Order: sequence, then structure tokens, then C-alpha cells
Amino acid sequence: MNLLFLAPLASRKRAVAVETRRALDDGHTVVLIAEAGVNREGWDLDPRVDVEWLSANELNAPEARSTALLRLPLGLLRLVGRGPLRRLADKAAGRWKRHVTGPRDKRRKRETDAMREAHRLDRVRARLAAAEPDWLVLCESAAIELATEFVPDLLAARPGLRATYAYEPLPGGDVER
Amino acid sequence: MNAARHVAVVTPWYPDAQRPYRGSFVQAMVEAVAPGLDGVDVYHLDGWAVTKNPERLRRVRELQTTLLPRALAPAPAVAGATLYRLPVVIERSRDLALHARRHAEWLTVALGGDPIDADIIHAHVPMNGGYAALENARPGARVYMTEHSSFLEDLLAQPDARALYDEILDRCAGVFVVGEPLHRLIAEVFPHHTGKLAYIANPIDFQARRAQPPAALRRWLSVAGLIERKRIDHLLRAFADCRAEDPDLTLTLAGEGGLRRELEALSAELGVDDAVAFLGAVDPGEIPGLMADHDLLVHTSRHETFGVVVVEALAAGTPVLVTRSGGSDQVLSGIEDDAGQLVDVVDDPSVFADAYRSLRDRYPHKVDLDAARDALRAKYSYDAVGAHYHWIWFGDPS
Repeated sequence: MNLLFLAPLASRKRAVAVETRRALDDGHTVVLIAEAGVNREGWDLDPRVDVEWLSANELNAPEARSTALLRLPLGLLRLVGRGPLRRLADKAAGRWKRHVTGPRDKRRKRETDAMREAHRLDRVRARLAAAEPDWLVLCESAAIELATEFVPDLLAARPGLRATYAYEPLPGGDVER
Repeated sequence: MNAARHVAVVTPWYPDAQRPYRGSFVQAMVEAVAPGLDGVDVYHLDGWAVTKNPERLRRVRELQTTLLPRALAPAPAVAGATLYRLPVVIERSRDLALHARRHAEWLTVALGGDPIDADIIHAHVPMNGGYAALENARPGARVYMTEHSSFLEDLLAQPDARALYDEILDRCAGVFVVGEPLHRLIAEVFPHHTGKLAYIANPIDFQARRAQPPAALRRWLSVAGLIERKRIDHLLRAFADCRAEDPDLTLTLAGEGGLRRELEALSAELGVDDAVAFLGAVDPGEIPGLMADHDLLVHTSRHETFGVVVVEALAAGTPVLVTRSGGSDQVLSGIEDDAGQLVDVVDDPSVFADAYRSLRDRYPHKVDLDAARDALRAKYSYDAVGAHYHWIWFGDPS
């Protein structure tokens, strides 16, 4: 069969490495769409796996120039916050973060998340169209979250598509667990 | 399936490709009970945390409701059992009663609303596996459960979770624990359920055994996660203390955990890094071989619900030097001196080092590893544990 493994956050690297190898050994074709993670070598992937690295974590929403300027008082507070002034400076820095830079950072994080999600979806949709899998493996909870964006339509178009959360052998098809 | 001896096992822990050692005691239990049964179905309910954003969560749940019944497929498991794996999606939350309800709910969805097809169900971890089993048992089915959780105290501190736990104990046919600490805790909190509370052992493989007992206790082995509760830092300090007197001592650390870098740095700081090997996670199948390749199992844990590694060491014919962590002292009750030495849980590593010296000085003449092994085999071998389960479920050992 033609399997597509989806691991958009790569939170279960070991399982993906083991299961893709198992699927290949059972004679299937395997495509993996995954986040590379900090250490790509940590994957221990079989070289036969056709991998589409998402590299979504490299995307970041740009920080507004005004936000960068608003961080300057924090540096100043660090400088003056020594000795007896430390508690006062820490308190002031905490307030500044809570009311001034914090909301901006949250907004930027939301923008980053949205950018990354859009990037992942684009790549997944393009690869799905090219690979036409008949077995989709949603390897982690983030894969289920991402799948809400495209799997309902995919299932409607291809009701025979097999979708699971792991590559498990069919009865009699592999070693026992 | 209407066979009289068909049993279902519901568990939140079972080895999988991601965590091949998590719940290996459940896999061992399945292997121990399978002989003499017509069939065993294992339902592995694996908790997967998802978003708590209400709109996103609604869509995840909708998709999961469609996918889960399609995805639930039987896979071959140990000893001819059948394994069903299902991820239990749970919105990020510390509410442990919610976790229990999600386990039950998603098992219902996976089964398409049908009950579990067995008259006997044995669940592991009452809060998750147990509640899911009760909610999906058919009328007349008896649901037993085993508690192993090291987080039970935290769970019982949540009022909703505690109330649900009470209900679970009320509805189940019997609840078993693997060690004295859990027995004491449950009996204290739910004295009205003590009639249902009993001990059961995790099965241990007694097949492999070293050819000769260790000549001297120089090659130490620890089989424990590199986490705070196991106190590996304490072990390293005690080891360094003893090695200062005997440079031939070595220490092998089998296990992985978040403290690895810190502990590697500590072993260098103590000047024993050339004698300490960090093996990382080890396949459970390799444990008997590891035990046989070392002279002494050392264990410095503060708290254990059961002393699996202690039994594994003695099954392999290896003496033990372990802390009184709850599980270990119960396992060694009555055979402490034959098996090795117990040490009090104190914050001074020199106490552990002194206990080593004391054991070293009386070894081998004042220990009896054969006697200790025989006593443990009678309680913890696959045959003994399997027979115990059959007695619980059917009233007689098969």
C-alpha cells in the first residue's frame, strides 16, 4: 500500500522511525511529512523513507520595530536593578512585561502559529495530491489537529482511505506485540 | 465471543513503538494469564493531549468520532492475545476526573457503542483503564482492576477525581495493588472498600539465570529512570565513596531521563566518569542478561510501588543492595539477608556506601541467593501469577 505518515510536530519520533521501517519491511511505500526538529539526526529514519521536511519551526512572524524599542526599558531596569534596588526593578520589569511587551509577544506568537499552520497545510495538501496515499497514519495529536483541516474532505472524496494512528501489522502479518 | 474463559484487559500503559518499556508489566501479565484462556483482548488506551481551544477542540472531537471506529483494528499481541490500540484525545487539563471520563468516552466511540466482548475484564489503573472498562462492560460482566500509579496521592487530592475513584471502587468486583504503599493509601482514604482490596504481583521471568553467583560485588548495576525520585545522584556519590577504596568498582546505569546530562556532569565532577557507563533506555528483554553480567543490583529510589527490578535481579541470581522504598522492602520481606541488603531512605550517601561495605564483607557466605530466588519464584513467576489471576477470575487455578 501507499502510506503517508503525518508528524507535524515530531513529538513521537521514535514511533515514526520504527513504524515507517516496519511498513517498508512489509513491502509498503512510505512518505513521511514531518517537522525536522532541532536535531534531524535524532530521527534514526530508514533511508528508504521519502521525507518531506516541513521546517515550519523556522518561520517566525517579524517583530514590530516599536516592540523592539519597548524592550529597551527592560535592559535599563536590569542595569539599575542591582543591590538594594533589585526587588523594585524586578517588580517594575514584571509590570512592564505584563502590560507592555507581554501582549505584543502573545500577538506575535499567535501570528507565528498561524503562519506555521498555513505553511504545514500547504505542504501537506501539495504532497497529498502528489502521493495519493491509500493509508494515512496520523502519528501524534498534532496530526489529528492538523487533519481537521483536510481529512473530512479527503474522506468524502475517497471513502476507502484507511486512516490510523499507528502502523500496526494486520493479524498474522508481523511479529507479536 | 461466548467462550467461558475470554478475558479483556483495558490499560492506559502498554509497550508501543514510542515507549517500548512503558507498561511492560501489563504485557507480562497478559503473557502470564493467557495459558488456559480461550482468548485475551487487550485495549491499550493511550492519552494524547490536544488543544483546549473550544472551536478547535470541537473539530478534533468530530474528526476523532469519525476516525476512531474506522481505525480500531486487531493486531497480534503476546501469547496469542489480540491488541487494540486507540489514542484517547484529551484537552490539555490537570483535571484527572476529566481524563478518566475521556478514556471511557473514546473507548465507547471506538467500540461503536457495543460493550466489551468479555465477561471478565481486568483493567490497569482504576482511574483511566478501570473507569473505561466499567463504562463499557456488558451487563453481568465482572470488572477487576490493578492500581500501579505512583501519582495516586496527587489524584486523590482532587475532590472530583477522589469522588470518581470512590465510585470506581464501589462498582468494581475487586481492586488489586502491587505493593504495600498503595495498599495503605487506598485503605486509609477508602476504608469502606478495604474488603475489595488485595495484593497481586507483577509476573517476572525466572527462566534465565546466571551460571555462577558473582565472585565479588564489584560490577554495580542500576536499572532505573534518570529522574529525581530514583536518586541516582545519591547513588553516584555513594559509588564514588566506595570506589575510592576499590578502584576496580564499576557502575552501569540502565535507564533514561531528564537528569542525564546533570548526572553525567556529576560523575565527571566526582572523578568516576571512567567507571560509570550510561546505557540509556534498555529493552526489557535485555534486563536478565544485564543482571547476569553484573555482580550487584543497586537501587536508591525514594519511593516505589513495587520492586520489579529487585525481583528481576534475584531471578537472575544477582544479589541486591536497595533502599527501603516501599515496594522493595515488601518484596524482600523475610529474605532480606539472603538476598543482599536493605538500606534506609536517608539523605546521606555514606549510609548507602556503608551498607555496601557491610554486604561486601558478609558476601558470599552469609547470603543465600538460591533461597531468596526460590521464595520469590513461588510468588512472582509467570506460572504463579497466572494461577493467581485465574483463581481471582474463575475461582480455581487452571
